[in-house]
Amino acid sequence: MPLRPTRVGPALLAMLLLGACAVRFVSPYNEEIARRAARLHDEVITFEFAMRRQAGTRQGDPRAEANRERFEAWRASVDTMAALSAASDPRVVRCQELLSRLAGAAERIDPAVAQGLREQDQAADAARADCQTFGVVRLGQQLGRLERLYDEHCRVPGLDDAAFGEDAPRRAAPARKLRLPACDALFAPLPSAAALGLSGPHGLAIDAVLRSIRAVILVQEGKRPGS
Amino acid sequence: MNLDELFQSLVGAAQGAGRSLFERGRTVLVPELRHVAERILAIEVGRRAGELGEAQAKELLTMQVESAIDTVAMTTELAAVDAEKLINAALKAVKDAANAAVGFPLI
Repeated sequence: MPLRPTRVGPALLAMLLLGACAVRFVSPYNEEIARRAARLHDEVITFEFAMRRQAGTRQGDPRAEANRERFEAWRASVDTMAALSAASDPRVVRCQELLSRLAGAAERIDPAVAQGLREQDQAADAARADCQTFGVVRLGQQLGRLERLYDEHCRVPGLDDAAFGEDAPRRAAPARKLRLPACDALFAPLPSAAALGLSGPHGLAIDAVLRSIRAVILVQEGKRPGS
Repeated sequence: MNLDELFQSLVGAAQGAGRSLFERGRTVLVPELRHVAERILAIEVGRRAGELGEAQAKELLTMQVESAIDTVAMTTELAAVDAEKLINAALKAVKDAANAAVGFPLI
């Protein structure tokens, strides 16, 4: 019996599926993304520990060349991760659309998270990407937030920009470490929260960045062959 | 083609993926959301204790919420990985059964 036109589509789809014998919804495991994410995780923690010692000194000031270069290197690495991820995106899942639908369910758990899910930038390239690429692009945004907070709260008072030029004499640095509580709050647990058991080992800004990095690591581990 | 065997293969594949999805929710998403809830409370406690200014508390809160969204996005990606595994396992079960039934590699 010949197939009716209305049955041709599903039959063809079934044959294609069976013929291909495999479907792909997501990008495969990418060792380079996994390696870069693990290294970034390491470097962010190392930066946090260094800042606990250096906040309030010339060395810990966001205008210091080494600190500017650190964020530039991170930005470059995350951009590369996003490019690698986008290159292998099979373009089946649009993460932004999925998250918008999840917002209703998230409302019952955490209204702030639900609101965040709704407010994602629909026009951004990442909005049309799979959830891995979307997550990596957003990791770059988290690092940008950390950099802004660092720049806003960790500049050493009394040091002007000239003190960080190539020829700036080191004696321009303050003789002792200045206390910058707003800067400390980025890189170390808050004493009041720690006393209540509400704080982990990291400062609140670093904690958020690390979780965004771990989300990328988690996905790569879930995709690792044999996992 | 043995219908029962094929059916059991498909059910086995579906159960495996279903367990995996449940496990991801239980072991990844729920602890992460709890973690975020704790950090949001920590920000509020720090603000009341005067350790954080109003503006900085808002900025840190934004970062926490954003990281929670990252975790939701990545859990969604892992759910797609699981769905892909489920469908591919089912396709393989159908392929193996069909090839076994005809006695040569048909598909």
